[in-house]
Amino acid sequence: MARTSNASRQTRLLLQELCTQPQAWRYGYELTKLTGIGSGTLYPSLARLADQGLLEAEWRSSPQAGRPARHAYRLTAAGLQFAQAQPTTVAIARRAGASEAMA
Amino acid sequence: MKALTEVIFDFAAKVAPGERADWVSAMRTELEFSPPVERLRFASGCVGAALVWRFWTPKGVENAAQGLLVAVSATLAMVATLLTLVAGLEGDRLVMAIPAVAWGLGAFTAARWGLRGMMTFAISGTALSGALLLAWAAGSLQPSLLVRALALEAVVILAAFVCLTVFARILATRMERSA
Repeated sequence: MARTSNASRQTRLLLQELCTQPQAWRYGYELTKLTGIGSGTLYPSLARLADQGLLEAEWRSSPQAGRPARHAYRLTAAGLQFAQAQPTTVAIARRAGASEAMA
Repeated sequence: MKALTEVIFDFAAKVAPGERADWVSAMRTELEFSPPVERLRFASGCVGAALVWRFWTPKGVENAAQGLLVAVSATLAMVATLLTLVAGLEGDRLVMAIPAVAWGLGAFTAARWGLRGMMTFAISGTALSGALLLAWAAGSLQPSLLVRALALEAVVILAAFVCLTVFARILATRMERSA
């Protein structure tokens, strides 16, 4: 596996978002909305994580009839371990705090 | 607006390297799933992603640095040539012709032999110009003000070339290691 140290702040943000529901398949557009990361940064990060074996990516058929299959992502076991080893990114921590306050 | 989004996305698809075709398809699908008001922004981001995939590679970084060095050297050669021919530096034409030839040689070296060639050229040029300035400072040579100015300018520019070359090489090496 390639070297995986030195995740950028935005990659950490993405990893932390993927960590919140590790079993769920996530989509690109959804991730741009949840993390605030633009598509220009998100997709190279996703591709790099997939290249490093930290992310599973597969085409999944859309539940809505007549809609095309979507490329979906979730962390691998190694990805989850790597994500949990990363320092918490403030934006996610802040949002998590806000969610807890609302609950 | 839809047409513009498609034009932008098609450009992204053209720019992206072939090995990322699956990711380009993924972005195209997500574009369809994004709300119409956000599609232009999303598609513009896809161009950014495609550019990253195309150029943010060890080879891409080296090519970009090489291109920049060739362009700057060629521009300096043209400026020096124009100054030699047009600016009426009658007594100093020969002096001005030297940097014109030297920068031209630098542009050729960078184009022909890449960063390695430019490194050799820049270090040699810095050493020569630096030696001239040191000789002047030590009092063993009395070059004209123009020669001194050109030597000083050469040292600064060539040192910047060396820094850029080293930076591009380090960046490319790190990218190779993390790939």
